[in-house]
Amino acid sequence: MEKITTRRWARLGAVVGTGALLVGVLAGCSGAAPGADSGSTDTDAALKEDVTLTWWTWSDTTQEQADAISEVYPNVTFDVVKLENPDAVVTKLQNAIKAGKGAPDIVPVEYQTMPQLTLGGALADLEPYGLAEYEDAFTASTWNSVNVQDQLVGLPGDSGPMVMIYNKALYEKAGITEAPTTWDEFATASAAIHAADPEAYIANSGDAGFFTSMIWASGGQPFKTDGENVTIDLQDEGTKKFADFWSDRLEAGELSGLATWSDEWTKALTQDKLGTLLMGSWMISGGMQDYGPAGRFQVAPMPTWDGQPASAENGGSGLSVTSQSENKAAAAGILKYLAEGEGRALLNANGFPSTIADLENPEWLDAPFPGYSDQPANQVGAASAESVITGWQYLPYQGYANNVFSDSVGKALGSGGDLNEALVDWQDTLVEYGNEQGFSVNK
Amino acid sequence: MTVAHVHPQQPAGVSTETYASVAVTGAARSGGRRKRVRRNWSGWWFVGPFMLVFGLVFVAPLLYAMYLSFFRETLVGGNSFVGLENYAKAMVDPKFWEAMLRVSIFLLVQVPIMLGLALFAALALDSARLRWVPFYRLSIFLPYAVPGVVAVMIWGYMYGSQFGLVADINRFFGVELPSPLAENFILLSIGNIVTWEFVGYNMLIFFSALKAVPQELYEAAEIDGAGTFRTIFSIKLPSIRGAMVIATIFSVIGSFQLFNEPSILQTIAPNSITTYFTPNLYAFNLSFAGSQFNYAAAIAIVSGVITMVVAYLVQLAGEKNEKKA
Repeated sequence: MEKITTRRWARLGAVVGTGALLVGVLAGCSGAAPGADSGSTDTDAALKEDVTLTWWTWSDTTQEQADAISEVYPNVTFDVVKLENPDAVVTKLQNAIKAGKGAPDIVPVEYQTMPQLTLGGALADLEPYGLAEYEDAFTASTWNSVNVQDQLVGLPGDSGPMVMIYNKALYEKAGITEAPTTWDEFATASAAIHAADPEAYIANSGDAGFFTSMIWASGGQPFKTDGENVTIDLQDEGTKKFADFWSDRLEAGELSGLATWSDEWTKALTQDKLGTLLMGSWMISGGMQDYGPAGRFQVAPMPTWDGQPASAENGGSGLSVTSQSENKAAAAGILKYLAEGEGRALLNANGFPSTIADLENPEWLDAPFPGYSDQPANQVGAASAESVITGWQYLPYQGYANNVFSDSVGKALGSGGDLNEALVDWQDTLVEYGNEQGFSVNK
Repeated sequence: MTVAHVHPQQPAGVSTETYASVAVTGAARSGGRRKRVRRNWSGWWFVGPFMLVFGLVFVAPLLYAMYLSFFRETLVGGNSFVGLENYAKAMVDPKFWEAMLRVSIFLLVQVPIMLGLALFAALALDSARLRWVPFYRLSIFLPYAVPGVVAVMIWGYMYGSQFGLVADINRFFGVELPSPLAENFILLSIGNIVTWEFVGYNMLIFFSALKAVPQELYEAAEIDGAGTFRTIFSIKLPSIRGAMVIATIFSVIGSFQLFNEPSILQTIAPNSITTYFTPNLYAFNLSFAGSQFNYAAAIAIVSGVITMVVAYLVQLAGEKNEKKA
């Protein structure tokens, strides 16, 4: 009898213990805990009180920015948490939203993932805090990116109008003395470079971010979102135009299979084996001098189909306040500070600006870059910003789309398959996923 | 990820528990002779910490994953109870089964090679014909001490066929080796990394089991005139069968859980490793990139169950052989 009771107690203890744990785990997931957020939208008042703001980032310089802001607002202290890269930030933020707690107050968000995070309820609407008044200060394309589903979910930070950074020495070795201005000329250069040195390539085959930007620059608009209605057409004219062009390069073996940012990719750049980077303008000041002696690389406009300027955004991010933040007013106040004056200078200290005044500032425009033989490279980026094709939309689940890119298009890029077939494959996956997630896709 | 995970401490834990409950009831009984009502709870001080951690990191996540797997939360429309629908979907999901097939092939090829090499190394170290045994033992074990992430990065660099070691070999000998990072070879390349990492670990298990073989057996064999190979097959191998079964089970579980190596190689060879390369990678990508937490939980539980069944079959086979011997 005694023995049974002991056992029963033990069993009961285990059950109750586990149950309590489970309840604890579940309780953690049942929506946001009521916070200290007073709900006030008076940002000035909020910044006069003592507050600690958590700020996630993937940038090395955020701590400096935070320190500088703390000097202006002595009551505000920052807890800067550096994460590996933008993807890590998105993953961690989505988990925090799902768990109901743990999100920071301020978070950088890439433009392409803003729709996804907005839809997941991760970002706060900043309009009540008076951020909307800065609309005219920013380029149309970046302002468009932070306005999602009738909400203002971020303050534009840097931007990425596409430019072509090319290795002048490598081009010249292949007998190409002028930067290609059309894709036809680019194709000629591509063949010449690979013929002159079989180990050299004009570019690498690229990833999801590159591919979508190139489709954009070619006039494609494969993704259309209107509320819950989504249309995907990865065979529209612009998309097909770029896919056909890239397929030809791929079939001819003129593209390197190296993954962007991999060690081998870096090595290829330094050893003159990779001729071109088609990237956002943030790469202009992104340390090309690390990839070889000064003056080897030059910045040129993106080639176009007809010689008329046409460009797209590639990357770039803004700052958002999370829906879980208990200090929304204070966090929004910091964003306001960063939107003008000294704060804006701080915001634009790194990367490529998205504020019109800066893009038109002669001092900034004419600044010579020693890394590019004193070329005033910002001019190329600023011109590109003006020719970004309007009307582009990302999917409300672009993060997922980019993730599964490697399963279809990536696979074709890796093994030399048919890119258009792979794009249809990608589309099928995205349509199925969207419909499963409750959207009405291609219906 | 929290789910399909057979805790390495589980068998040890079970035995602790049994041991402790014997101790508790024993104490209760002996105390009961004098004072029937008084219970002795001291055993719980010993089991308690383990039970707490076990409940927290093993039972609770498992139960939570099961709970999750009965729902479907979508980006639009919110959360709804779907019963076993996620499991039904997993049963006919070609991506999941492709991943399962891949780790099964990996298991059938890589595990025998790795354990064979480990056994060979252990027997060589035990043969008393080698000098500097501690040196060899340490060198073979060293890769296991290298963090997995670092190991994959080292190998990933060597695999580079454009600017890595493979490229250097190609250039030096004027040959054209197939790229180890290409889609067709990537599984082989991962197998190579895993073998390199874990040969030493398994060798150590075998080696310590060999050290425990009673010296009298060898003496008796020598008197009976047994040669080196006879000693190996009739004494050494049968004596360490238990260790071999354990090492096999760990390797089986390790194969089904394959995650680190492909996930890190993905950054250098994104086009060769799909998001559903292994069941674990699939579950990870479903939940963290696709917000399909519920389906990921179901996938994790199904692959966990399959792993347990296979591990159990291996154990059964091992026991059967032991009885035969």
